[in-house]
Amino acid sequence: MPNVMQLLPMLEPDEMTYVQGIIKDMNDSQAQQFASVYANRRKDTQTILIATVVGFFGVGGIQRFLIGETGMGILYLFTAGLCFIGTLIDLVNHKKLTFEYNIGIAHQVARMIKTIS
Amino acid sequence: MKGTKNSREKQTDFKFQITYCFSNRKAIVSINKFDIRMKNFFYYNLEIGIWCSALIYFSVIDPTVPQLFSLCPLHNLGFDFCPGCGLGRSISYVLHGDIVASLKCHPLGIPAAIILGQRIYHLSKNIFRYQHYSSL
Repeated sequence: MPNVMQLLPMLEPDEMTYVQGIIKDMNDSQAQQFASVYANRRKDTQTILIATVVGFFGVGGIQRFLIGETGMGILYLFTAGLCFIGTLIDLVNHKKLTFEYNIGIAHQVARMIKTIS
Repeated sequence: MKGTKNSREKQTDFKFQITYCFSNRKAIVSINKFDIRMKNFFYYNLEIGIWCSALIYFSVIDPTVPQLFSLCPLHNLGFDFCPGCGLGRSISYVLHGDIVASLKCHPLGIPAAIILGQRIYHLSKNIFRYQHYSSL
């Protein structure tokens, strides 16, 4: 059985648990392929955190664009992050936002690998 | 522990104490697990809770009456201009069905209400899904 600790050691703990559940049915070459694609496509927690902190000093809502929520991003951009309250919420919540985006990407990559091989 | 002659009662007492301790400990452990679950539940559903309570608040208040205090830090610091001020009243007008007043307050009121509703719908699909993936 492929082990997520060896393939993708940089994941967050909860994300690691989730990805282990996805790759446990794959064989070794598939898991290797999954790891290389997923490591390139996932977003780091730190990136989202920095993009959120930028909202306090400049343009708000970059984190929402980065995780693929364009509507929320535009709303944050034109209202200065909902009067900085939305930026504050995202600052507290940045790990969960990244987790949500990353597991979406993980499912997408797993589907892709299943159709290719 | 050294046994005495009439120690039967004491022994049972001791046993009872051990089992009591043990069961108590078990209870504590299970409470801790429950605590962690609840903590994760609240952490993973923080966003939907905030958006829902905001929409409920906007639907309850009367938008024509000025509110006593403002949450906006720019307004509280004394700046006159803030790009987001008036959005709350605007959403409130939309929820009460007054489109013209909403557009006068803030032009983004209608899109904001739609986007927030969309986001709440999207988040509500996975309310009970992620709380088991403990980050502890």
